Amino acid sequence: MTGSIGLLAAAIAIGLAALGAGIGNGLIVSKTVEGIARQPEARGVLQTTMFIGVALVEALPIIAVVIAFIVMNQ
Amino acid sequence: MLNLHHIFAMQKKAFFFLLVVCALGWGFSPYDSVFAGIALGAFFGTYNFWILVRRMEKFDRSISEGTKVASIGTALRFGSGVAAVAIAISLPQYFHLISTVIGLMIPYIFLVVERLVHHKKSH
Repeated sequence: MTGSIGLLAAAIAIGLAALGAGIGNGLIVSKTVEGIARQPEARGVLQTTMFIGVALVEALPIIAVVIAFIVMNQ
Repeated sequence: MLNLHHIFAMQKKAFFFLLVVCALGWGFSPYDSVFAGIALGAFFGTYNFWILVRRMEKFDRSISEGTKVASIGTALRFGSGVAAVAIAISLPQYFHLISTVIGLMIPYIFLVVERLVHHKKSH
């Protein structure tokens, strides 16, 4: 059923998901490294915050990739 | 504040509890494919968290040693999400597709709820 437009839609969805995840993760990691450089004693707290941030930022892009995959296989 | 190992330990505990609920639902209810899909999705969601914990440890080590980090495993997590859905698509008689996607997000929902509870308790 998936024509060329469907494939294009899936490709755009995966690309935008990767873009969003990349920008979000980049911001989180850069600020965490900056924070650790400023306050090395707060490393544990920053690492935990980074872990939660990365997990939540990636939740929606994963859904986007999964939906793109489902659309491609319909 | 809890560290990421404690958070992951709680995630694992919740996953095993969910697995028991899914096993009961699979065995004793007519919605067996729905419960199987949720269990499959939750398994891959917890696997995503395991990858994230491993990569965070690597990241922490590399910061202290001053070496470069190649990636934090985003593509691997995308791939595991696709793998869960691929299994559900290829075996539709055993796994319900939408339940698999919902199950994939259960560890994330649990993370948010656990953080909210922790925040409420500590303030």
